[in-house]
Parts: sequence; C-alpha cells; structure tokens
Amino acid sequence: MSVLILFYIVFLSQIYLLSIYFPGQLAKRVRQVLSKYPPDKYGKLYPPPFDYFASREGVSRVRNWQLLNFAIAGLGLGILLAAVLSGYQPDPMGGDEIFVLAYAMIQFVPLFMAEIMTAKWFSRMRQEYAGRPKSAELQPRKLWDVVSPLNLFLALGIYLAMAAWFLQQHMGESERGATLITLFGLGAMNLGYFLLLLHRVHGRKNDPYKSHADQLHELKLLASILVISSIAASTILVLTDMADMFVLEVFDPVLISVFAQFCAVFSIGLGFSKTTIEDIDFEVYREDAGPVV
Amino acid sequence: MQVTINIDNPEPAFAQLTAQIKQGVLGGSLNPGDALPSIRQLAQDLSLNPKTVAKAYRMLERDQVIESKGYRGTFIHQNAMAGSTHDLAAWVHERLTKTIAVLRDAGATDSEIRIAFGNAMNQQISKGT
Repeated sequence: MSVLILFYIVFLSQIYLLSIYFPGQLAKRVRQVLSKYPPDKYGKLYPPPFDYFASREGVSRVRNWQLLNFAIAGLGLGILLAAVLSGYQPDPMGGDEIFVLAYAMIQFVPLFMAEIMTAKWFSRMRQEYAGRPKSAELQPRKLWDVVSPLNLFLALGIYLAMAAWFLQQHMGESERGATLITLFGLGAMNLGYFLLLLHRVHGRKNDPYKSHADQLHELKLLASILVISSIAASTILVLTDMADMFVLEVFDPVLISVFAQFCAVFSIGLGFSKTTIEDIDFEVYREDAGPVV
Repeated sequence: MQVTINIDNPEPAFAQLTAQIKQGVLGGSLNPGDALPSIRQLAQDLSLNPKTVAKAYRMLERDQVIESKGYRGTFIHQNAMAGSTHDLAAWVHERLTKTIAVLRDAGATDSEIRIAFGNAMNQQISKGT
C-alpha cells in the first residue's frame, strides 16, 4: 500500500512539473519578452514570419500551447483516477514503468514542439542576418571554456562504472545481447552529447545576434545539462537494475518517474534559474543596434 | 576585441579583417601572445568562406603580426606592433604608381603597360616565383 501511495505522489508531481509548472514558466517568459521587448523597438528579435508573434495571433498560440499541456495534465489525472477507482496494484515483478515512461514522453511532446519552433525561429534570424554587417569576438572558443575536465571525466567515469556493473552482472548467455544493446545505446547517447557540445562550441551561433557573454553562458549551461543528464541516465540504469536484483521491481515506476522529473528539473528548470530575462542582453536585437558587442 | 565585416564595403573581406587586427594591435586591444580564434571558428562567426579567413591569416603571418603554433593555435606575434605599421599592400601600390608614371613619361600607352604587366606576371608565375 505504501508503495502505491508513494507512486501516486511521485506521479502527481510528474504531472504537475512537466505539464503545468514548467510549461507555465515558459509561457510566462514568452509573454514577458513580448511585452518588454516589442517588435517595433526590437525588430531583429522577430524575423518574418515570426513577427506575428507579438500580435493577438501569437498570444493565442501561446495560450493554445498551454492548453495542450493542460490537456495532457488532464489525461494524466484521468489515468491516476482510473488507477485509484480500479484498485490498481503495481506488479511486484515490475513492468508498469513502461506506462510511466510513455506518459512522460507524451508530456515532453509540447516542449519538443516549442524546441522545433525555436530552431525555425533561429534559422529565420540567420537568414535575416545574412545581409547585415557581421561581427565576431577575436577569442578562441575551447571545449574547456564551457565544461570543466573534472565534470566531463566524472560523467565518463560513471558511464564506465555502470558498464562494468552490467558486464559483471549480466553477461550470461541469455542476457548478453540485451546488456550490450543497453551499453552501446547509452554509449551512443553520451557520444551524441559530446559531439553536440563540440558542434555548439566550434560551430556557428544559433542566434546570430547573441552577445559573446550570453553565448558563453548558454554553452556553459548546455554543458552542465548534458553532463547531469549523462550521469543521471547511467545512475538510473544501475538503480533500476539493483531494484530488480533485490526484488524491488515494484519501485521501477517510481524510479522512472523520478528520472523523468529529474531530467526536466535539471534541463528546463536549470535553464530558467540560471538565465533570467534580466540576464539576457536584449539591446543586440534593437533595429538601431550596431554589430554584436 | 571584436572584428566586423561589412559585405557592402568595397574593400575585400580579407583586407577588412587584416586591417582590423592590425588596428587592434596598434590600439593595444591585442597584445603579443594573445590567442586568436581558429580559421574555422572565425569563418563560422563571420559567415565567411574559411579560405577568406585563411588568406587574411596568411597575410598577417607574412607581416609578422600573427604566428601559427601548429595544433596550439594562432597567436599575436612578438613583433606584431612593428608588423602592423608596415602595410605591404600600400607599399606595392605606391611603387606601382611610380613605375606607371615613369612608363607613361617614356611614352608607353596604358594598353602597352597593362599587356607588359600581365606578361611579366605570367612569366613570374610560370617560373614558379
């Protein structure tokens, strides 16, 4: 019974964080930017066709996006209510975590939609920027400027420890294939993170107007998120495996829900807390602003 | 220090870049030993072809304004201040202007001068000098 109550509390927290709190924070930020930095003064921030965003249509789009999140929260509450009414009991052998994971994926969909739109926005900004004078800081950007070697090797060390754990525990005939797939999968994810960071450090800026200081701050934040995410992924795999080993599979749904929330807190939450609107230099988006300083 | 490239400027991008780096050295914004971004990074940031930035770096290296230290990167040269005051392009322009004046005084037409200059250049190139 206590496991069930724990699961309900954790799942409720997941619904609130991923579908109400963080989307609410994001929508609030968008509204703040639209009101404080309007297109008539900060034209570079609104490349066509995204200039509509400051109009009523844009405001209604933000509202609709938030409504979509509320609908997903409603779905989660419905699932929870159905579980309570049907007298659901978590399977002691585990397996129910797949439903928690699937619901978390649904919760992340609106955030991915926002991410895709941001990428398109930046792409339009870069097109607009093409005909303008361009400036650059005469300072080399290096990987170690944005991530400390200690953090990077810590993430690598934890991955290797996780790999050693799995290789020691699950290399029997029947488990070998699944173990190797898990290790290669997580290895590929970590490699992807590393390549993404390298690309962002050495590649072109997403937002061409962004000041050098803001760019560096964004890269440091991204590096922190990737390192934390890598460590969390390795840790959660070992924890769920330990839960299985000690016949505590019944906690798997709770662990997966905690993991999903952890990812959200240390990506979106960290981003919000480390970068307030006041921290960002919006003067670079003024139409009368010179090249990026 | 920042560099700015204006594509509407009739001066070629590599020349704008070399001029601004030299100005940075003369103005004290760039000091001997300061690290410079890689060719790739600067080309990305300025949306230029890497060959353009490489050409600017080659010119600056020739004038001893910057020096390449292999994999460690590119740095401001110890003699950068002296190198930045020396404008080879301006010197070439001045010498050519004087030479053209001498040739014109001798009665050579502009067409003859152009053809002779082209031939001389081609001869040098074919010699590999």
